[in-house]
Amino acid sequence: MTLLERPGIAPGEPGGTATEVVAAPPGGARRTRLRPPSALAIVILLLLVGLVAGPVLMVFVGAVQSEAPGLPNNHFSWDAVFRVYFSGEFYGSLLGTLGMAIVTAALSVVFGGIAAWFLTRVAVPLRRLWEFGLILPLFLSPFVGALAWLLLAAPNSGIINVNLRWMLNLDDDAVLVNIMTLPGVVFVMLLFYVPYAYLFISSALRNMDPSLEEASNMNGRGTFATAMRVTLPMMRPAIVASFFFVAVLATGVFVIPAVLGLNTSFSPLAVEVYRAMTVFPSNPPTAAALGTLLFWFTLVGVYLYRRSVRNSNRYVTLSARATRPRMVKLPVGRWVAAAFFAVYALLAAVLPYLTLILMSLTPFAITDMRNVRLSLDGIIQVWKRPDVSTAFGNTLILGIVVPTVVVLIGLGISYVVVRERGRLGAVIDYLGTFPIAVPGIVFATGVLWLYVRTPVYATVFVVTIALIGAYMPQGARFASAGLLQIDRSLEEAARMNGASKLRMLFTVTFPLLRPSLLSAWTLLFVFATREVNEAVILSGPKSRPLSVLAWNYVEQGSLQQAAVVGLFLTIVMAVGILFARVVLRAKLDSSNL
Amino acid sequence: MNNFRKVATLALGAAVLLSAAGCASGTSPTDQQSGSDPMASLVSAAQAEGELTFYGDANETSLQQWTQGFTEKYGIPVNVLRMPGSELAQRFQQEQAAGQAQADIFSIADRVSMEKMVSAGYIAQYTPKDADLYPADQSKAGYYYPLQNGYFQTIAYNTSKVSADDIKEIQADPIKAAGDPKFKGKIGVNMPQSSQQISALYYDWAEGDASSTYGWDALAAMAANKPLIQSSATLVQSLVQGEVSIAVGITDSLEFSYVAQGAPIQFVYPNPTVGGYFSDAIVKSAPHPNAAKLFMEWATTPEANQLYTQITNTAPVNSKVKDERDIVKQDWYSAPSTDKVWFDFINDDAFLKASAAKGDFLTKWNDMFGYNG
Repeated sequence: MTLLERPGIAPGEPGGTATEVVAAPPGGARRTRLRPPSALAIVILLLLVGLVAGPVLMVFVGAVQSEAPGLPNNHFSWDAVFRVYFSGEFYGSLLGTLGMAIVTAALSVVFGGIAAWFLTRVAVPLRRLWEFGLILPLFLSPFVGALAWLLLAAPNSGIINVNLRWMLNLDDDAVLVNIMTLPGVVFVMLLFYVPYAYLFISSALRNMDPSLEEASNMNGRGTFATAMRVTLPMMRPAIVASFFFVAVLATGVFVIPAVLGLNTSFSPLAVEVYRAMTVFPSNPPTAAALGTLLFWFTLVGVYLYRRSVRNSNRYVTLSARATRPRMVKLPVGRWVAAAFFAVYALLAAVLPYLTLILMSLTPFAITDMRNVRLSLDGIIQVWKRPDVSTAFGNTLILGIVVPTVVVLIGLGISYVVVRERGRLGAVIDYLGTFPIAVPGIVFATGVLWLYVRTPVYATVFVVTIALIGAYMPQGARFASAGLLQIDRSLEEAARMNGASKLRMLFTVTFPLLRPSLLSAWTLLFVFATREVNEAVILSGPKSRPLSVLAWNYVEQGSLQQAAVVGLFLTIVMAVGILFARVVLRAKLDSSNL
Repeated sequence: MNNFRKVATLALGAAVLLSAAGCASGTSPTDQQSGSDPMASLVSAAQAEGELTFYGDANETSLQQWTQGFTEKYGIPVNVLRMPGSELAQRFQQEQAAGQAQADIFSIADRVSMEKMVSAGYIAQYTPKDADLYPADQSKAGYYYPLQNGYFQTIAYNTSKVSADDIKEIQADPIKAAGDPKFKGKIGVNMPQSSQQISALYYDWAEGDASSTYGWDALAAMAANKPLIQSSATLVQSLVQGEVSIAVGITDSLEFSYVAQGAPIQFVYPNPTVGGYFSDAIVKSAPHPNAAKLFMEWATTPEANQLYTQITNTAPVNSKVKDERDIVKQDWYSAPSTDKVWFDFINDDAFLKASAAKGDFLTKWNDMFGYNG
């Protein structure tokens, strides 16, 4: 490497020049044309170092200690790393977790893709409603969702079985539905992961240049053949991208089979991480080392994911011109599809929410509707808690600050990655995707180790920082997807006319991106309001959000109170989404993502 | 008037104690030399501090309602931080090592963790005046006391799913009953991986003191009934809704509130069972030291233990509190006899070795139950 000193235009200061030192590979005369990193890129890099690299680095440091970093008798030790990487104790967990993640992702992509095709290409009646039903499970934490399904469809005592027995005069042990089986568990898992695949694929479908499908159709290919031979290949990048995204997220899906009592043939890694942290005697270095184990595999996933996103430039129509995909005429099929979606919305959204309401009104689980006693005691008890208003306040702070900051930094990341590229762009892209590679409980522990000696410790500020870091990948992904659709000539025009980069970002890029950023904001608002793993580890007595209260209730077996807080949370989310929709005119659907 | 009398009694007691102890710990209520009422000055010093932060791992509702009793009496609001025990211990250590003074009172179910905090020097020395009302073998005099009663493992059943004869059978010997083939497909078990206590429970039956009565055969019989394997919070839910008829390894403190609300469940303490007591102590670096002392004084009184007993339905530990719980009058309920409870598993080398990651106990349990955790 040789260091070259050369004058260059410092971005962000139009017309000004500055001397910059850039690293140039030996003999690579052509490579020296690589642009020096922009000021924006450096600012983003610094932010990511603080928000992401710091905690992740602490996890790696924590993995090579004898006890948690910072404790008096702690010393350097390879024990945890050796146990996790070389003892063979966790190989089964690792393979099982990867297998489960891949299967979950593949199924989510298939079902999400089919749903996306129908909702974007076929005039299905009440499309908006079905789309909302598809996304609604995202509002519930998977744990609460799984508990609701246990109550609904357990073989002996589930609401559906118990009540249909007496209604239809069946035997006492007749089992009509059983959620505690492999297909049942897969179904519940898909409820929570299909929405991601759906959001990715349908936004790509909406933005696809319709002329290709039209050409295929005019040449006499039928609807099915066109979908398989034209649309599907065009969707490949979106499908691959969503596959990796879901696969990475699904490494933490263990909670659903655990609640539904399904004995998997392995113990998921996320469970091992959780146990290392919570079962006496707790072993933070092992948890950290397990966190790093998942990290490498996710890194490979991120690499492949980046490749597929990079290729998507060639596929997606970038012009600012609005495209309107050709609608397929399925006179009967559209009604059949509507019926399917109605059943799906019933299963995914209506039944679980009704169950949640029922749970919050009954002191304990009664599944025979003839014996149900309703009372408002649970609601009153939760409402009378001295700290419930503080928890509301903290949830609001998290719900407003986290998505706002994540969207803004995400915009910066995507600008650097999509528009500026270069090596720093790649570094920023990886850094911005790292948090998804580390289990939330471990990431939060890294944040704890990092901030325990600072005055902001135990305040809602630390929880905010952790969540901003944790959701950075989603923010960056949503912003990049939006940015890819914008013709860069519009930005170039602004620059040619002398606007600074910051001015261009605020007067051209930001307004054009507004719809997709607001959609991203709304979705991140839901995530930040719902998040619990990290908040549990980091919040102090005065900085606990509602989600942590709900989780503590679940832990003590008080499902009624947990359901009440779950409903409060849903109300907060509904108000937030309504606010975003009415005041900011943002929509929580895929058309803008 | 009544309150006044209580305060006066407390104050008198504190004064007696102080003069007796000669204030050796140096943490006694102030102003004793000036002859003014030490309790009254503790109260005003505590009120001047304005708040108290309580770290605990007991259940959220109990902690909220109990500390509310303190707030009602002295007007000092209590901030409760409730976390699972292991995470609480980790976090508390992290904070103390970093000089983060957050917690005033530290309370935890696991006694080994409390011992660790004492030997690390994180716990303040303080002897509340009612300290001797608590069992000495569950306390460390001058440091911590079992103010939040005990908790014990049970085998529970759903009364709407089993017959009167079944109940008799379960009551007579719950460990054997759970292995009765007639309950095939109707039992649920907690897994030993979910806590050290559950691990000790199975160990005690299979390889510990009760191995000659039960041994691995008793567990094999349970396993042959194809149990549903869930962790406590979910298992209690499955039992209440009737998905399983019998559940092995649920803590009584999880069940009391369901019983009080009329859920169709009852439970038995197997013989032997395992258990423990919460311990409560003042943190040395407490940001509100006077409020912390006042809280300890309040929490050790019979009234406070009575309140905790009433909230949680657990058996009172304070020797001046009579066990007047409704549940004691139920003919199906008999309190655990503490001489048949294994408390000391945390110091049992054979158990610790067998249940460690490299030991063979968990592997054997997994093989038997066909579990892969």
